[in-house]
Amino acid sequence: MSLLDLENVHVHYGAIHALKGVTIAVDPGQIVTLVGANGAGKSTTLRAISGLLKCSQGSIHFQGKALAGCPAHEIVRLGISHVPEGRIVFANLSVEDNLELGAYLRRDRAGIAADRKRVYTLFPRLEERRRQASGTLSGGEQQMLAIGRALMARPKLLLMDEPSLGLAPLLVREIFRVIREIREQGMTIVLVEQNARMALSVADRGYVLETGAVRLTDRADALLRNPEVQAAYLGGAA
Amino acid sequence: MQELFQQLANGIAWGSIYALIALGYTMVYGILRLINFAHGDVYMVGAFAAYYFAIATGAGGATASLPGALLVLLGAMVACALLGVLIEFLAYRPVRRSSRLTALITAIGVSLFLENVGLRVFGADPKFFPQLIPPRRIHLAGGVVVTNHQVTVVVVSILLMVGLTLFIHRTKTGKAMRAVAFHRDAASLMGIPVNRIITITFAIGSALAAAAGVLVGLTNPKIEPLMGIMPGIKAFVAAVLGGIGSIPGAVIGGLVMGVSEYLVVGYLSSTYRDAIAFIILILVLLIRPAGLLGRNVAEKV
Ligand SMILES: Nc1ncnc2c1ncn2[C@@H]1O[C@H](COP(=O)(O)OP(=O)(O)OP(=O)(O)O)[C@@H](O)[C@H]1O
Ligand SMILES: [Mg+2]
Repeated sequence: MSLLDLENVHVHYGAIHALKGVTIAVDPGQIVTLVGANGAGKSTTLRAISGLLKCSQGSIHFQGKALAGCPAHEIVRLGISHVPEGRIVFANLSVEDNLELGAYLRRDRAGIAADRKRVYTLFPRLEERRRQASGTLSGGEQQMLAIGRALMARPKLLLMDEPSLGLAPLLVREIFRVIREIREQGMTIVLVEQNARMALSVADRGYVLETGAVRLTDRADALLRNPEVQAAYLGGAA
Repeated sequence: MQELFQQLANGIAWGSIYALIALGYTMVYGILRLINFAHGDVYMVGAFAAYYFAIATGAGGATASLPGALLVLLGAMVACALLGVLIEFLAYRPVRRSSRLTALITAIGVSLFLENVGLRVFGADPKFFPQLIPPRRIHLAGGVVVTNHQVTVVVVSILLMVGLTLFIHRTKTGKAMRAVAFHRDAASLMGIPVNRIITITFAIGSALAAAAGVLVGLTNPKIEPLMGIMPGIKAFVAAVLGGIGSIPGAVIGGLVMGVSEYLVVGYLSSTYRDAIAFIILILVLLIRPAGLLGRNVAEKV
């Protein structure tokens, strides 16, 4: 059975029909990537999973449990963490306080301390700046903090919305190195990316979204070789 | 010179009261982008709650004692915390997803409601607040005279403000509160129960307003159901002056407001005492709409 199942999910923003029957399955331990043009519905899909948006139709199951009607903060408790588009670190709080809030629902002090250490090992730069107001971090550092903060909940599933957006190539590689590392530690990840080539090269499976619907799904390596995908999302043949 | 220091001392005592009320405005605004116009009336209810507690427990007059006074203060704060929670739950939560105009009109409605219930239940005639602490005059250097009540006002205000600051910066709930104020959705993605945090914010803001009501009863013992209107407006101006949403801003704004009022009283005429608030409001809106400590950010939706 899959860890996460979206079945014919529809989402509306008022009159705007943003998702029109999306079906996605995510197996444990996999990286699944959603690629698609601006406005295809990638972020909307993630927001529906994490409970920020309600589905107008269809269902989402996590570990066999239906998520309908679950408020966002309860979904975190079930084991889904969402690194939102644009990072949204709590700018007026320090790096350390951001991480503390990432572990908001946890009570195990020792485990939290261990996970904070793990985050600092993953991103040594955050440790150097741990008392700094996170609004004064660079974009790349803020992204690291957003990822670290999500890991502090010790999730089973990590949703990442455009973690490489606006970062210099060196930092993009750094972020992707971390994504691989997190996966090797056993995390399941749903990765949304504009940078389809990078995303498909770390992912096991890809879904191509177009105007709110799944246009195509396949193993990631197959999508990388798919001429249609190459033409539309990979800037021509590699 | 003596006159100046005397008015400064009076102004700081009054300003502390404004600051306590302004904190509630600024906290609620920070988290909901709502101007809680009923806040001044919560302060009024705080004064009356203390009045009835004091009578019921015999904490005033001849039997006054410090523990009794503290108990009255605590009782009024708890009562208003509950009132604030109730107001949020019954009036503001149902319109949270509506337009800001709807929320504003709701707030004005709650304010009118509390004032009229107050007139009905407490009566329109002013009541005399029992003396929780026997009055004493304290002579300071340079001929400045303050009362122990004024000192109590300032000391209690400082303690509450320090407590609030520690709560907001040191505790997990306080940090969650700042996170919700910064970005509600991002906070809920941390597992923070946003509704509960909003409830706590109303409870704390209303408890601080109640404390202001009790302290006012100490220095100006005439209380009546419409007593919250003017201080409510002035504390709101104080919050705007400090930068609405900013906690240190509310404290500074409150003190500036109190001191300016007493300087006007001392050097111009007490007729203009209430006008200064509006002059300050107009000046802030013209010169620095974000307030002294406010951040000049584009408004979030
Ligand atoms: N808050 C909103 N209100 C109304 N419409 C919205 C809202 N958010 C998104 N939409 C619409 O829903 C559709 C899907 O948007 P979504 O943000 O999911 O796209 P995306 O694939 O993440 O795009 P991008 O790559 O630009 O981030 C778009 O047409 C968008 O205009
Ligand atoms: Mg997006």
